[in-house]
Amino acid sequence: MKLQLTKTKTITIGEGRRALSDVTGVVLNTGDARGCPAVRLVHRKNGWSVAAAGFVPSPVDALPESWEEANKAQTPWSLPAAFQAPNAALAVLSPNMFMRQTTPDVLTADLVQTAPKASAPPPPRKLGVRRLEKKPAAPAAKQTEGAAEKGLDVKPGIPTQASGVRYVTQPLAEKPFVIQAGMPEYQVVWLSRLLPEGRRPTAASIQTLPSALLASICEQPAFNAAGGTAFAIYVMRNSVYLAGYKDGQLLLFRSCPGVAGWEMLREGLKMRLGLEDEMVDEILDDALIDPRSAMEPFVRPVLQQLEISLDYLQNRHNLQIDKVFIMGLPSGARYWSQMAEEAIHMPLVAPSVFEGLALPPKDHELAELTPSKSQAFLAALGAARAAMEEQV
Amino acid sequence: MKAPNLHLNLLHASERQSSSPVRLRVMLPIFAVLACVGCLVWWGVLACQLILVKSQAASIQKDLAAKNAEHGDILQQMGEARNAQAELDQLTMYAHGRRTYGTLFKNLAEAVPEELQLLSLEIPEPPVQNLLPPGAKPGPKVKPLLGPTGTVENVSLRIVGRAPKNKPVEVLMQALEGDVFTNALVIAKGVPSAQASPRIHSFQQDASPNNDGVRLLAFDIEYRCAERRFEK
Repeated sequence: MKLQLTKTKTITIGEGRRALSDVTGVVLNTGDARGCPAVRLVHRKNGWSVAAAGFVPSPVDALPESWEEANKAQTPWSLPAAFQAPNAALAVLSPNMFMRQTTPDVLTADLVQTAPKASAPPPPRKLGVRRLEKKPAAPAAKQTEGAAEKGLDVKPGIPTQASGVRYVTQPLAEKPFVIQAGMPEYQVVWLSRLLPEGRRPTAASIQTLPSALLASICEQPAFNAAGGTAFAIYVMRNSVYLAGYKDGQLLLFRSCPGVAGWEMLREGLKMRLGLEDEMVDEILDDALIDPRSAMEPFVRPVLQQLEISLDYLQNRHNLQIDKVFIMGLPSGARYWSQMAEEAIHMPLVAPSVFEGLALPPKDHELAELTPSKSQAFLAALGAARAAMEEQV
Repeated sequence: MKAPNLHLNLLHASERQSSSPVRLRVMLPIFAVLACVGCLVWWGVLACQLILVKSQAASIQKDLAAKNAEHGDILQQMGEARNAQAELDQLTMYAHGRRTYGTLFKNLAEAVPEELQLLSLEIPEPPVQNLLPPGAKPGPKVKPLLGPTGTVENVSLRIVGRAPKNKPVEVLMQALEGDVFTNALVIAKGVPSAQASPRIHSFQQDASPNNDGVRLLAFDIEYRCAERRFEK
């Protein structure tokens, strides 16, 4: 709202958000027995610093799978004192989420396909949350009709498909491509209420896990030294993502097709080498046994996709990538790098997640964390960093 | 390097909640209620002040009514005092207006010649005073004034007698012009006859002779006496 005080002086109230400078990034639903990885990231004039990092207890309630589950009474979730920043950025690993690089034509076709049909049964009328029942949605956008019938307040910039999926799109540096991330509406609504109002922190950002990964590399010194032009392989528990950056802007994003994440790799190693679970990390981080032959069925497809992506960037954008990061691996990055050097003649860089960030002086455990162990906090750090993007 | 734009936030701005324990939607009604309570207290204070002022005004009016009654009594007493004073003044005026004629008659007896016979000495009654209040008509309910409205009253002495000749009359008249009568009788000569003193009403031959068959002269002379003044 603009208020004109005098002929020459006008002030603006309530427009735009103040940049966040203290955010706790938390990753939910990872299936990690230790809890939810959380990183409290602070930005001051003297730079970025990590105020706290660790695993916090998971929420009591599980991520809902339907509107009925989402409407049930929710057990409030609170974080330990060290993570009680004013705002939280939640990165969620959901089986129903998606993230893809696409074009506006595809988006339009999707909207036409997912438009509600006359014979379709009506969606649930009301939500169990009073705040959401206040305003009916504006019927302007066709894609918001489904949410409007649910009584949701739908922001035009973040539309909801008729199928009940809330999504957000952003243009990529390469036009006309856009990147789109989405999640079922009931899960977003449930997550928005997970951290209760009036207590630190409250949710300021809800992201899908892949989108949270994208910003985790931003403060890496090697990434900045390369001028923000680099390639990153994000190896997660069940999936692998490839991302190309140019001048710090995302240029390419794709999920590695036909490739499982590091959990499947570990299972394969255990079977092939006859290892117990505790021994896998030791084998992958030590040089006593060369596990590359056992790793090859899993790593080779990733390297092939990497080569395809690098060729695409070279041919399409005349972009010569000199630096490829591999992030998210809990162990064995060294062998991945050796195999990449053999295959595409380019080593992989596997820095610590916290490299380039000031760590809390009293937290010796965090300071002594190996690069491999620090990868557990990759998505949490990325979620917090992405939520603070307006700061930069 | 440009700033990265990698925030794909699925949270609506309307769904964002504040981590501050001070919530606007809670505080606003509280402030509104406090403001209402403040207004009510203010109005209560005003009402109390109004009641106090009203009670003070009622007591002042009561005092004023009592004082009005007292004032009426005082005015009545002052009126009575004025009336009494007027009566006293009137009595004083009457006292000052009192004239005594004993000395006059005593000296007159010595001044009358032997050949002169006085038939009557009369001080005529003064005209009746108008004692009606100004503008009032005579009636049974009209209270007359306490005293005469005129402050000066003329008094005269009328001497009627007989004498064998005019000489004793002249002697009497000369005697009455003497010093002993100065304070009692007014001698005014050389003025119009209506204002002259003495004024001779008649001086003529008496129609009836006396026992000796001598015919006498009858005279009727009026002297103006000193005025009777009703003054304090």
